[in-house]
Amino acid sequence: MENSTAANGSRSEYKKHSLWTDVWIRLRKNTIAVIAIIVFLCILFVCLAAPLIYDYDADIVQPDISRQMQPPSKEHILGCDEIGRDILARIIWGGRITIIVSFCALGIAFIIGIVLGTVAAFYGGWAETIIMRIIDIIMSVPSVLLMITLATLIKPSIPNLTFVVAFGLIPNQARIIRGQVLQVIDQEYIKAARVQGASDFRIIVNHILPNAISPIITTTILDIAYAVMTISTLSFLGLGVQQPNPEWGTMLNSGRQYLRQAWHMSTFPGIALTITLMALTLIGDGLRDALDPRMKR
Amino acid sequence: MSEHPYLEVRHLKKYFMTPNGPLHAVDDVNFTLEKGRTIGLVGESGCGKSTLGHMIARLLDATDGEILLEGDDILKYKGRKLKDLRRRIQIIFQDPFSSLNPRKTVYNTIAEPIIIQKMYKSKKEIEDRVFEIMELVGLAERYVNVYPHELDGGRRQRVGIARALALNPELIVCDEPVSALDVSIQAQILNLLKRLQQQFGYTYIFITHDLSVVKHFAQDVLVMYLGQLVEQAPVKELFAHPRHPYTQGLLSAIPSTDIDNVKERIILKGEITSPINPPDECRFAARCEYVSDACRQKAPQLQLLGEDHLVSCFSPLD
Amino acid sequence: MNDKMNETLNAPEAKAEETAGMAAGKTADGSENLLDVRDLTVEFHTDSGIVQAINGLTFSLTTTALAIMGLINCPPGFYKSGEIIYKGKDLMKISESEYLKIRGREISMIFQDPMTALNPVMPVIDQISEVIKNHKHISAKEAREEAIEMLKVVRIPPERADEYPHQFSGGMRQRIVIAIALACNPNLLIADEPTTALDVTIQAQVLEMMRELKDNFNTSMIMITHDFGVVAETCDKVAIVYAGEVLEAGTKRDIFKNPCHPYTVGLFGAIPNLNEDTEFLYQIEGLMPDPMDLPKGCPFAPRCSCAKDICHVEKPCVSRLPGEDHVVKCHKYTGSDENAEIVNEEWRDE
Repeated sequence: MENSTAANGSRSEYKKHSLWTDVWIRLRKNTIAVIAIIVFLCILFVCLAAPLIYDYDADIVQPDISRQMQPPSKEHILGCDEIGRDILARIIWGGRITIIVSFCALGIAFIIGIVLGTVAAFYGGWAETIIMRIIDIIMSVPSVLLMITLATLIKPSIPNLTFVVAFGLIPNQARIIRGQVLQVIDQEYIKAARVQGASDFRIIVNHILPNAISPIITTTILDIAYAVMTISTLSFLGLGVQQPNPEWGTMLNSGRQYLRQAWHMSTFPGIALTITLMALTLIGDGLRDALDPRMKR
Repeated sequence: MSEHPYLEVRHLKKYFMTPNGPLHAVDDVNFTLEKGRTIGLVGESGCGKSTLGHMIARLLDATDGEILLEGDDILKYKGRKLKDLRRRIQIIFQDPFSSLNPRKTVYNTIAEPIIIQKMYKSKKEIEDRVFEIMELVGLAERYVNVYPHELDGGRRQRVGIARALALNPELIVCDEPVSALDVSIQAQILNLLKRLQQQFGYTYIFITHDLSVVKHFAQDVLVMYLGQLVEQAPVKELFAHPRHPYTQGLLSAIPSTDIDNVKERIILKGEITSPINPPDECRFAARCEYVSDACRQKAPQLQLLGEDHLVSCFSPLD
Repeated sequence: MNDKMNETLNAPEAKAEETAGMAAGKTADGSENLLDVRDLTVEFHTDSGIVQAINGLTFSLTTTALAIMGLINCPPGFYKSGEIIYKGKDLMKISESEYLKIRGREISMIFQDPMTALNPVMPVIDQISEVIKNHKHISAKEAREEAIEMLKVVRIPPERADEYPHQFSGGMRQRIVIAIALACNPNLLIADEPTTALDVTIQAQVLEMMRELKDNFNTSMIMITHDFGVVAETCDKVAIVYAGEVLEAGTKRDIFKNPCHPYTVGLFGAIPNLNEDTEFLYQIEGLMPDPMDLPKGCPFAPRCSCAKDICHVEKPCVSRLPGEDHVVKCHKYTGSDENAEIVNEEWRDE
């Protein structure tokens, strides 16, 4: 009896770590990933706060011939473009569009990918055959080509761009999730859960997804990078965000013609794109290490 | 009440479809088991012993046959009834590494079945039950919020046992619970299982390939070969007088630690034959040194020798 | 240092893990020790910067074996001190090219898992003849003939020579591994849990074959195993290793009939015995110590039922017990005990 009261008293002493606190503790030790996270958060914050800093009509789209192709100066830190718009403002506004579109696209792809991948792996049989064959067909077409085709078929608008990018991401998501689920599904703890009478839904949500998710999170972060790149590529080709709306790819494209006269027009959007992609990749790598508790030291 | 044996397995079959034909994992197995006893299921890898155990735990559906628990065929259970059955039959797995969800703490792992089965409503009751079971299996309370990868094999296996006991089952299928453990830890786990049985009257189906563990742990032994029972007897009887040539070879193959009485070894020739589409003959015929024409013509049936010794052989040994 | 291992391998013997034995044929040079391992210390430097001492435990005997084979990767492993004397030469001091001549030809090794020890994309015959070719410098054709001979020795039908490893069963694969190990007729064979992955009846076949080959080929063998039964069947001498230290060593009879170290006694009690009935098995409480954080005194002290204060602070020295070559490292047998004479480190020099 004495024993049990002592035990009762001491129970609260064992602090409970959730999965994500553990992940954070481990991630914190990875300096490069932390820097990447800070950089990305800054980009994210500045881009999302763009409407507070700039006025769309006055700062972003209003031409001003007097400042045409002005090199970087105190007033316009990154210079101005061919019709005199401030490049910094347009990079920030463009980043906002890119980030919103890529996150939405990824969200859509992630959810659809999880559903398709899990259903295919968990139930097998016909469901798996159909889903995986369709995915194989989609994946057999080079993704840029596929998205260019899709983008030409539909009217270029921001929602449509989101859809196109999401569509390009789904097959990869579904395939990776299926692979992960298949790895987990034969583990004995899944059998144990079954013997306890757990429903399929509970097994999937409680046992399979948490264990399948870590590589998925990593690829998801990398997929954001991929989405950002795709959006810029499509815009560069004139199939994504349309003038006068700013977008890094669009800006790169228009700056390309003036590369000799005004280097800053395409250089700075390019740098913005590179930094963002690098930050995302480094975060992805850091998270992958942090998510694997077996790496715990 | 006891017109039915506690557990009765009748003509149980499990075939897996493979590209080369049906794989006879379990082929027409019959046995009965009384409550509170331990039956050892031995055989070499691929003999179907785990498949049999998994069918009894309703992890696998049978191709044919019946598993009667107190006279009721549990293979027909579905939905609500099946979920209730889960409280009565639990399983302990072999691999202490893959049998625990790496993302769940010890507490969550043990509490999971209680929550699924809604055994207790309040958090407090669940917590009390978890700590009660942890004490039963000898897990110190400080491990309650630890993840499985931080534990060693022996403690992990204790968590696996605790999870199985959480629902207070009657029948526990032990699927090679000690074969992945070191000798000294193996002894700890075997003692624990035995103590729990004495305390709560569990019925064990103990699957293992280690005959010395069976000898120590079980009261009755079933010897399986390629999906079929070749011999069944109380443990002492079986070890003293093996009647089937396979059992004899199996017993003789155990390396003995008795260096004074070096016994004459019977070394079985060859290796286990393919369980895919086996011919209708004694499945052991290819390796048997006493093989005769009769063995090649049809498969022998289990026959009763003496009081409680069943053997499936045309010419059982003396 | 808390991680020394003193081990003499007189011609016919081997040593053990959470136990096991050495078995062997006779050396070519008669009375001299074929292999003499002295004070061997190997450290592993892990990421966390902690030093992991080796020798002992289930895993670390493998390390010892690898050390003898000169196969410890550096980093993370470092030879800290000690000598492995093979035919009078210290293997720790010879060059890599000299090692290449010894490895495979004079000392070879059998691994636990026959599934991963063979190259899956190479016909088995080529895997055997490759070793022969490398060491004997003979033509491919001759090597192939010798390899086929080896297959016959391990009772694999020669017509299956050109098949790939996955076409063989586990027992046959282990026999092929043995054939590779014996292909150059080594003086010393290190077998690391060679039968653990096999079924009992197959294990019996393999052990029987190894015993025969050992006699026919006149090979000394170090058998690393956790199975006392396997030791009893194959070995002449036994060393009980725990947490990197040999706690007890002696002839098979000494160890099996007169186990002296509490750990050895406990291990024997923990094995279910076929000839006796016991309600409960003897239980050694607790767990193996963390190899990164070994106890200061006797490594077994925290689990030992007869540990005294001294056991926790001071390492016991080696005591010689009556019997042919029976030594034990335990405070029970040092000092006051008249049965034991303290021989410290000299015992191995005889």
